[in-house]
Amino acid sequence: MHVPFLLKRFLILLATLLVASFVIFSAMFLAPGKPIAALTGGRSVSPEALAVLERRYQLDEPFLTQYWNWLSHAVRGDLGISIATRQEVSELIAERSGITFALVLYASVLIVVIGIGLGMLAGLRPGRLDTALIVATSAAAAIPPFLSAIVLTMIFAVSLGWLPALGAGDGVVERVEHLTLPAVALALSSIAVVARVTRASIRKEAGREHVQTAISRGVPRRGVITRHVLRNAAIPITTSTGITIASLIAVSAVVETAFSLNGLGQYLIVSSNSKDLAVVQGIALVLVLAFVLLNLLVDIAYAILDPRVNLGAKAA
Amino acid sequence: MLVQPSVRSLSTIVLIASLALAGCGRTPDDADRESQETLMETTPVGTENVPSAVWAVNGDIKTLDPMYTVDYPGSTTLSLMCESLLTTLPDGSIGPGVAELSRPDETTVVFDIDPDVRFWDGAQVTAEDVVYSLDRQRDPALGGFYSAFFDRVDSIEATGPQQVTVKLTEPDYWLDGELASRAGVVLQKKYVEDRGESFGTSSGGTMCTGSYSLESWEPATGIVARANPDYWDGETPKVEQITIKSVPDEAALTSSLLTGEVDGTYRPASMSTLDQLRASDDVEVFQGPSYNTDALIVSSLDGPLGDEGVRRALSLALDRKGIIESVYRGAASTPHWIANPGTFGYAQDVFEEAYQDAPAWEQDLEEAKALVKEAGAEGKTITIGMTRGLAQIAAAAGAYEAAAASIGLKVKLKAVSTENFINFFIDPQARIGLDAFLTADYPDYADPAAFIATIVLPNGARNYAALEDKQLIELMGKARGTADPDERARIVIDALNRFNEVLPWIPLVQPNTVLVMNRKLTGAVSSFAYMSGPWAADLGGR
Repeated sequence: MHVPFLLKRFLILLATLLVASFVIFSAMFLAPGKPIAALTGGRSVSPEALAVLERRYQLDEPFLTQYWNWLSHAVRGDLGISIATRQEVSELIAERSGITFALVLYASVLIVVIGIGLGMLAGLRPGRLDTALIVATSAAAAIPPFLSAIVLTMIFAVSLGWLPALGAGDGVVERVEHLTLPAVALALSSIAVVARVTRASIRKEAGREHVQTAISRGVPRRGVITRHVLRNAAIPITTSTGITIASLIAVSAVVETAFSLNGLGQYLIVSSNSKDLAVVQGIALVLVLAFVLLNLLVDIAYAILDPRVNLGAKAA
Repeated sequence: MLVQPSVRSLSTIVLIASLALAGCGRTPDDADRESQETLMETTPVGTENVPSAVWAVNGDIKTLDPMYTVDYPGSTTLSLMCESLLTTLPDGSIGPGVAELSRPDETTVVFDIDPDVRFWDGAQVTAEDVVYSLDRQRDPALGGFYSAFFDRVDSIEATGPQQVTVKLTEPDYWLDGELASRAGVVLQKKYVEDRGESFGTSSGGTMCTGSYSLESWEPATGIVARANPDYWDGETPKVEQITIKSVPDEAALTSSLLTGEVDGTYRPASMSTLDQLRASDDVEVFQGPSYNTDALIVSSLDGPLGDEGVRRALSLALDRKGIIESVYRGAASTPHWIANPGTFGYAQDVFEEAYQDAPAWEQDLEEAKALVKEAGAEGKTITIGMTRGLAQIAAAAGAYEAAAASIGLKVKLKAVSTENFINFFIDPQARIGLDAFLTADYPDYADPAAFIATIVLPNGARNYAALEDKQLIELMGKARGTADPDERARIVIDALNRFNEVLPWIPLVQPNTVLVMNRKLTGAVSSFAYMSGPWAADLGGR
């Protein structure tokens, strides 16, 4: 049952990548502006020099030829070279992927541990703590990452000097230190959202008839919570956490810019602004891939959490 | 022009607000600012050894190939490590560099290479290397950005192991300036040929002669340059290692300067957090002479701006003081001429005297209104290309809009994205329908003629309106062939004054060079010469 499911998923992934690459390529091609402009940084340069460079990068070819050139190389693993830096796209992306991956992973851990943790706490223990959390999460959910980035930097980097404000650092310890503020900035509003969803789902499950019946029959509270409340609440929690984490991939660009982290998101913005086609395509493929894989993980998690969920059926 | 991400204006506001909330530093004091920040060409020489420093640039470094280097990040990095045939000194003047220049006759330029000059790998710089470096620059098939400036060069030949002779078709005294900048960078022939396509990229690197050598280049982290212990000319620099890092976001730059994670940066004077940095006890803001001029480029003479009187009226109607205060926080001045006084790289006394005599462009609404009326241009519309993504461009557009409104003209702003804004400069299609567009521009070297020539000559890269003013063309031709610097300066002064009458571009303000440095460091060049000459040779601790 699982093999056809994975195969189907793989084919869908390929189709998604192909369609995405074509759509992105067309959009970039149709958008006004010239890729060569990025090389000049906006300074006046002789038209002759520009013509020579356009020919060198085959930018004078028609659209479909350019797309075919890209695609035929891409399927062989050659993502082309960046116009701006004349470097292999795969190399340029590989270095930056590490930073974005670490950032998103760090933020995800924070979201899962703190977000779900707080949500469970609030959901299972109504009272003052719950009210406080509702207020705090309402505020936190409304703070956009770029704002939390600046405020966190001012407090923890500039005023207190506890954590660095810039760059990604070398080595594991430094990397964790450098990514702490960005990860918190990135995760903050998502933690709040996930905490609230978790709390709501737990409340809903806890109020259901079979749970109340179990409690009234004297089944130990601990067992009721783990077997009936948490297990059933896990599905909506997984869904919202999955979606939130997937969205981090896109939002990371803002945080990367604020902390001058040379990650994928920030690079995607720079490259699409300068119409560096091969780079945009490369990053987009990585992002689409990450998104699809993440969804796959969520689906598998469903199946594990709830035996009623049939993987093959969900895939459609 | 510089291009930065557009989210920054909002984030900067938040930054300023949170700085105020955090209550750090002193309050900025305007009087304090005026008196302390007089224009300096360089900062006091550093005396202490420093193991490492981080220097921020406002974007990614794309290449270290001098013929494709034009922007701020690239030029700053290149001038740190690579040397040209001649050197641009902090005051903009030109001195001997890798070679010494002499002119046995008007059309022959001889470069005698200093026999001590060594590449980083220890190899001596030969005439072959120099010929190769110059030939690459001038070969139009390679698409180098400076090849047009070699148009009077007939041949470049090695006339000795350490001597290169350039034969000219006509006398050319502008060549010196170009060869003291990116066009004159000396590369090792063998290295460039060995690296082929990868030369100048992060994998191929480069081989130069400067006091800092390229240690590593990771596109995502930046460039690490190391003090060259065997530097041929003078001492090894005091800062052992300089990391060039791209920090385009102003808010991020400001906080990392305050935390000491970034030790220094050259930044456009329009930087919105300048006052916050001035108020800090940890960093110091220096201002120096610059080659920069913000201006409105008249790109079509078919509309109302085709009339000389209307162009003059628009210039007279501008509130330049307002822009200097609001956008530049005092770090700019009102132009007398299209060229910034920081470009007076030779015959400085001659230029300075004439500059004082030339009136500054002060606001005179009465005369401006009269000129518009005389031209019969009242109520006509001027279409200006701009972008809201760049704060200083948006502010400048507003200034022209207000100026036009105050004298009975209408302005239609054509706002495009930051990235499309660049296209106004290189794509004629993008300019269709525009009367003018905004710029923040500078010449390659310190000579007002280097700026004017590209604007007024028929084949000039900046002559967007295809304007042909006989007098300006003639003056430029004469200046280019005049040997005596004072005499050449007088011709250029005539051209500058004539430019004020014709106004192919309408100057707005002239921003200063802004250098921000951690107080533990000193010695960096604080004039615009950092774009082409060594700026960290005297950098050190204090």
